[in-house]
Amino acid sequence: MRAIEVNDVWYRYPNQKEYALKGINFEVEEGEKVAIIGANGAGKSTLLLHFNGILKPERGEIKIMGDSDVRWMRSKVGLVFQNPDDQLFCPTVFEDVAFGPLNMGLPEEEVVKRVENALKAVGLSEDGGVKWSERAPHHLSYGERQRVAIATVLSMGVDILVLDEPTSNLDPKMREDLMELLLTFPYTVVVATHDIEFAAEVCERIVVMDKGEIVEEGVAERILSDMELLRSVGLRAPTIVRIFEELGIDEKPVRFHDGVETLKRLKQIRINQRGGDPTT
Amino acid sequence: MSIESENMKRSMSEGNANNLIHRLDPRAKLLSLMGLVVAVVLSDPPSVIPQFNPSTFFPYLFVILLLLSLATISKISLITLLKRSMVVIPFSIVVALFLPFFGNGDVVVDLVFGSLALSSHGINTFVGVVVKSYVCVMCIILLTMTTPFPSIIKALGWLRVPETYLQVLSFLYRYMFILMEEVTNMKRARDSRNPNKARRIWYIRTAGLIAGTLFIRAYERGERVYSAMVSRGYEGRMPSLGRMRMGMKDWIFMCMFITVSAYILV
Repeated sequence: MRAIEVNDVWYRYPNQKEYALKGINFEVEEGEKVAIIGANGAGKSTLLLHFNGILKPERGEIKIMGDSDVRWMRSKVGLVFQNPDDQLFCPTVFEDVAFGPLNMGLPEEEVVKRVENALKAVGLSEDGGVKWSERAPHHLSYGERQRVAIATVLSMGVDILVLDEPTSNLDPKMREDLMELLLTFPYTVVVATHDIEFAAEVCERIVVMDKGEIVEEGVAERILSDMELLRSVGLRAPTIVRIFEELGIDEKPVRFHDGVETLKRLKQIRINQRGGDPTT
Repeated sequence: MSIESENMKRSMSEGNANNLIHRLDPRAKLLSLMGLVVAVVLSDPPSVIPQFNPSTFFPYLFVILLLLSLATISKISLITLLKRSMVVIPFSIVVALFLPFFGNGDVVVDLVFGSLALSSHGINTFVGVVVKSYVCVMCIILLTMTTPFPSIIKALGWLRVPETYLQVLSFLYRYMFILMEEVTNMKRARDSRNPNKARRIWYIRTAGLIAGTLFIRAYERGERVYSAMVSRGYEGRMPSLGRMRMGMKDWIFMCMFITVSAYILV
């Protein structure tokens, strides 16, 4: 089943002449992890707001799991905003995570259970003695707030997780933690980002946007190794791809560990060619 | 994180300790302390002039002692409570500054041939306003230091305070620290581009620019927060969870305050 279907979507912000989205067409299959990449102002965030019915297309249609009803869309798509301080507006973590389920009219016991499970899913389990749910969001670190922001939508029992620039403002450790977290998620994930390395590690398919249009889409290995394409939309290829380019190697793995493995393999081939002596 | 907002966070989170006063139902604390505030406001002002009567100060001293003993039970620093309550004094002095000139009663000092004079009733009212405001603010500070802010909001909701007002209050608490941080960052950015010590007028002018920018940023943040709320099913009502229960301790606490309030009024 298709998780997201975007058919010829056009959108223009009020009092603007220029369209922010120009005839967008694409689909996301259930369980797929897709990155929408592009420079600032490419229209990535505008497109994400359509998945949740916050913005409505001027022309065209968006279907979430086969339906375009706004309530349905909101119950299926969990939108995590770029800045967790925009997402977390309640005085305590518990109230924030419970906000969605309560609005869905769920009974109290179910809400409490969902809050516990959602916090556990993002690694903020209360088993360790830390009462995460009682803490105020502004007392948490940025990385913890980011996790709580994800928990606020997981508690709604969504099927599709949509994240807008999730790695902005995260330090390398927090970024890595978030990456691991998303890789373990059994959900359909759509990430809008210009963090190419992050997109390469987490997503199997890449959609490239520029000036409100989709200019290319395909598997991560093909798109992210196309340096010319990325340069033309104001982005840079992952560091590992650029290293391979500099070394004049035809193969261009896009993920760090794949790159390391390739280098090890090439080294072994060279050793074998020289008679098995690694010092020569 | 700015030092100011860190200090504020620390001071507002003192209500997390686990002791008798902190554990009381927030509604009991709110009703008791608000009742005491009303009693203090409605009580007769102390008498300073024409004859100083110390017994008219006793009810206020009694309330202060009661609040200090509650603070001791709550393990709150008495000096912090007393000092923090002092914040209101300059404001109450400014507000009540002209009262001594408008009261009836005996003329104590004739400043301009009978047309401008300090009256005994006016001076007593002035002293009353300053003392009462100090005691009332002390009550409120004790409440905020012994009760987590979300619980106060919940108690106010139970008292049928309009939901819109409570939502605004709740957002104020949530975003105050973020806005304070933004102001600190903007001030730092301003000062970092001011190698020569500028004149006071420059600071005043840039303070206006900072205030304007803060307003725009707060407005835009408001839009984003609203989008986040709508995306999670917000339809104009903040849902709440959990019921509050009044126990025997809460009723005893309230009865004690009703007695004290009645004593002050009588």
